[in-house]
Amino acid sequence: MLKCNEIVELIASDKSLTFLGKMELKMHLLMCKHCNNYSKQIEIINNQYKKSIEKVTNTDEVHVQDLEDKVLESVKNKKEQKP
Amino acid sequence: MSDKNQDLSPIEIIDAFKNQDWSILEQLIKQYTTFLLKSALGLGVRGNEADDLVQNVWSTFFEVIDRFEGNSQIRTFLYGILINKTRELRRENIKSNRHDPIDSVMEERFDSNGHWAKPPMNPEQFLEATQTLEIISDCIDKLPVTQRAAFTLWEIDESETSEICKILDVTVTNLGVILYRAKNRLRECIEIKTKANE
Ligand SMILES: [Zn+2]
Repeated sequence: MLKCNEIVELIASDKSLTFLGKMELKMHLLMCKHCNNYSKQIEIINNQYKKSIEKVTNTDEVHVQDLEDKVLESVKNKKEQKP
Repeated sequence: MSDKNQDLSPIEIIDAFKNQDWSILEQLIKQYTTFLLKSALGLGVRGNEADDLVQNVWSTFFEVIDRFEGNSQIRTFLYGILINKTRELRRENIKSNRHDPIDSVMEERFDSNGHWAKPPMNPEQFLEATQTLEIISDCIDKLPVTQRAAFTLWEIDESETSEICKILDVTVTNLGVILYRAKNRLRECIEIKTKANE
């Protein structure tokens, strides 16, 4: 039988589990309120993390094009410096 | 990232660079710059700093292209450079990843029998607190670069485990530890902020 601290480790490190391992995890979460809450919190973190990163990684097409041009320009200069 | 262009092989890129075949290099740059910029922003680098970082990654890419091995994908190779540059920018070294104070914080949450001594907050309250994303983004900004990269690759890109390990230069076991620390750091941080706002 796994203890709460071991269950928490399984959940947070996203270990791939065998069928029996998954069953044991499920059973523990049914019986243990605290680990169940922990597991729900981690699920919330996963979802909100995704949303938050999607928000900050929004890029503007014009800006990206501008950046691509700058990159190409500097690659050209670089090549000319060391023939 | 768009997959509509077929991936160029390393040899094609090296040749294009040698022969100054700008159209091929332009194709390459257009294929990966959005990906790099999004990745930089995802790692918490903002504004001009993010643009400079992307330029920097490309410049390094063309310096080390001779060492690029055919068995790793260009995307993986570029992301690896990006992470190293971001670590430099944040003055973070790999050694600092060996010990993480979150490990002892987590230990204190359990008694000697492995049962909860300080149980987690109720999830409804937790969800409500993270609804505006402000708290979580503050907490994300406090994560070390490696943890942030690992979590992003794992949760958002849903990259293959082996690819993530290659990019971060860690073993599969290490990756588990990194994810464990990232999630628990966020969890603790969110709980503290939620309680402070009560
Ligand atoms: Zn439990």
